[in-house]
Amino acid sequence: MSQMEYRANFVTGIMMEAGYLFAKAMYVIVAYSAGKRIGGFSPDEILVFVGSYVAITGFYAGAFAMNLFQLSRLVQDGSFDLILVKPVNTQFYATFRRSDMGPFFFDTIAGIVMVAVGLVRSGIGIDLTLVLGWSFFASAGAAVGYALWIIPMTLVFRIVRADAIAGLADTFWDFNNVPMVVYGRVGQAIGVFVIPIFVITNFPALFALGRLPPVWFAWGIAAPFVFGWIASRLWRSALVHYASGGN
Amino acid sequence: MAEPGFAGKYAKCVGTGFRAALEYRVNFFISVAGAIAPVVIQSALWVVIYGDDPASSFFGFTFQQMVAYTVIAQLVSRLVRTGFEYDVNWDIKSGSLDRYLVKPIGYFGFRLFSFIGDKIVQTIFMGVLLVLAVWVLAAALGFAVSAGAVILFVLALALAFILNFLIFWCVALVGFWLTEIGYLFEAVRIVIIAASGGILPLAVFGPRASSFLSLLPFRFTIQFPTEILAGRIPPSSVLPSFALALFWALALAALGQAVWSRGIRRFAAVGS
Amino acid sequence: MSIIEVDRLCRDFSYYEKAEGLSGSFKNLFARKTMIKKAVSEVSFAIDEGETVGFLGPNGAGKTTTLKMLSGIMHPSSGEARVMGFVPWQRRKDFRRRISIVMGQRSQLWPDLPALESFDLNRAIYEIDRKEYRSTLDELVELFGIAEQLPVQVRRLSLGERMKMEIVAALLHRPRVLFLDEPTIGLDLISQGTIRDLLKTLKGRFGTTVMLTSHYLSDIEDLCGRIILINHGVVVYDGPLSGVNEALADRKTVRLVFSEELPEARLASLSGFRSRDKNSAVFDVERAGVRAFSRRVLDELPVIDLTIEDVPLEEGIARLYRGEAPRG
Repeated sequence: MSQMEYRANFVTGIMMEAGYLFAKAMYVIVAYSAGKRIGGFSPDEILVFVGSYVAITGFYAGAFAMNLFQLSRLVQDGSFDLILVKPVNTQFYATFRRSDMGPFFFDTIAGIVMVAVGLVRSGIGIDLTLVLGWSFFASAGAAVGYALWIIPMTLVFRIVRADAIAGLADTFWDFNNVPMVVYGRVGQAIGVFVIPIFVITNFPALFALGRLPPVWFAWGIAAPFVFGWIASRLWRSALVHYASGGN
Repeated sequence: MAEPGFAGKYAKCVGTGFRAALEYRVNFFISVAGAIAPVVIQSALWVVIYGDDPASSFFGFTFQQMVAYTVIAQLVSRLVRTGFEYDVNWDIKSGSLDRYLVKPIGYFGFRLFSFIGDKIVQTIFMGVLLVLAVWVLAAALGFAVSAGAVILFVLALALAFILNFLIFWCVALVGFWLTEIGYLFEAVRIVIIAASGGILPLAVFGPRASSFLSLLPFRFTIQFPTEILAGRIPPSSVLPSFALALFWALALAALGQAVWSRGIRRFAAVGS
Repeated sequence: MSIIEVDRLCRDFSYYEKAEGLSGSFKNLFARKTMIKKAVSEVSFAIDEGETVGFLGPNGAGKTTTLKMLSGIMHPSSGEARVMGFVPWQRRKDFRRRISIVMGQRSQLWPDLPALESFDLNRAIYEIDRKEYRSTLDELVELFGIAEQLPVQVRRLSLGERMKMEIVAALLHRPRVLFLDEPTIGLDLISQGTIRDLLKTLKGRFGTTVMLTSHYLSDIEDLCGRIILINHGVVVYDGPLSGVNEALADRKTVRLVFSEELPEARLASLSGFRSRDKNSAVFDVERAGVRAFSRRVLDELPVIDLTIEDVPLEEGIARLYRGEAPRG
């Protein structure tokens, strides 16, 4: 379900993303200013990671973030009831109801530019395989990101002020602002297999840099299905407890 | 001209803000929990950057100082955070500002004292967290805080509340002219937080940019209180810094007053 | 078989007791008492296809909660229900395609778009065949007289016009069952009347089964052959509107006008005294005792006018709310 909003919203959406991009870019600034390799990656290679992160954030921010934040309000004022009675998959309808094309395009383009610049400066040739592979893992990562978001959002049916939950989960999204190697071996293992947040943006970057090992390669393909299924079940069972806000 | 029961009125606002804050404690806790992510991310980053040589200095910080800054700045940034600008914007947009104008209470005072009531509660919780944080930092990294620093920190914090309120009060007043500014608040907030040293210390921006930024009021909402507590402000700079902060508070208050009178006139003429 | 069958439906809500004042707020921080409210308690009824049933009750009575369970929005705490053979809270797609709900306080229309766009969205959502959609839409537009408002942004429409659009949006897929929750709330009297007229016409045209909640008696009087009265989550009365009075027909209201103002104590000494206003007084009298009462009053008091009335409908319903048991 996509609806284009006013031009004003389009512009302010982009300005917001520009603000966030500035905050994200600070980590790139630090990488370059520190002047040394971090976790075995040069600043240019780190740019590839951060660029992938920015690009996929575009999908999150543009396609469904607004709906997640609004979900709490919809539940509180009872408008969610009217969504529940429609003969469409409630989960997809509620999460993709409105999209913001502004942030989506802005982040996706900015991110891809960052990735390209990082690759070129690292001396890595950009061929069709790389583009397809990066796109594939980026899409798979976006799907995993979507599923991981649904899980905490199901709390919105039980807690009244759940917009704070969205705010909190939002900060965890930022873990991908730096390459996962920074978190050490244990951290990486948890973030790849248990709560696969690192899969979202690190896998496409690692693939583009030619450093994605086979086990992770396979997991990158399987993860979206596994977690998509988990998210869907949690959503369904949460609805059973829905008490319908408002009067 | 003293209004009868002036103190009582505003005290009530403090009380109401206080009670509302208790109700929304879940929100506050979650916003504080939001500090976890940046602290973890940055700490991991510093561990890797400072690597095997913790005594080395990046951006004028040793490893210990950098981690301490990260933790404290994140807590302070959440503590001084505002939210009333959305309410103000809503009051302007919907026209319900009328409601407050007919009441015998200044709107500015209403917002300010509700904010203070809110903050009193949050400061208590945050105070506990800060003590905990300093204790952990001391145990893990040998970070030390002097009694004098704590006293100055409290003063700096009080100023930080006032300054942050005034900054966002002025931002909110733009809503008299741009009704859709609500959507911009987030972008404005991010940039202001970055300029306050709330994401990374201002030194990261490079020597020239950071000296310029240090003159602006933003630094006094996050970076300054944090550095006071961490003992990074040399004694000779303490008084001049407070003076500059005070200057900005007065300047912003004056600006706010000027913008308010213009804005109110426009509001009365145009409606919502 | 009835199209809607409800059997001992229950719904409980838990909430936290909020203590007064500042110390109360502090206490709440650490330990909160959980209270249970029985919003719907063992409600049972059956509705046949084509009926229009009014669900009447004061605020918080449980009518909206019941409606939400029957439309599948909420799960009950216990009990069963079937609508068109479906269990509503299983929310089968086939079920959702055959029902519709209109809630007076909330809108399914996109506020910044013309209603027509929202209608088109519904066409896609409910998978309505284009030709059918066109003909239904035209029919409804003509019936409701909203042709001119179609291209206008919904948020610019008046409340009455918006409600018309809501109802049209709800009918585009020709649901077999329509739930209306307070459809006329907040509307001015004229709009209320218009909506009522439209619903009356619809009744005849589409043969939809309608369940309507309201706390305006006039909505119910106009539209519903049958009313279900609910209070504190319990069904207090289920039957024709005219039956309400019969249920209370054992009482009559006697109005007296006197030639002079009488002391209240004197009037209160007669049983059944209800109220007094200067020279007049109102009494509640058992039907069987009206004659005796009238004779006594005419004998003892300076009565110049005596009227014996049925308890008015509003009054009758109010009494049922208060729990005075209906006769029979």
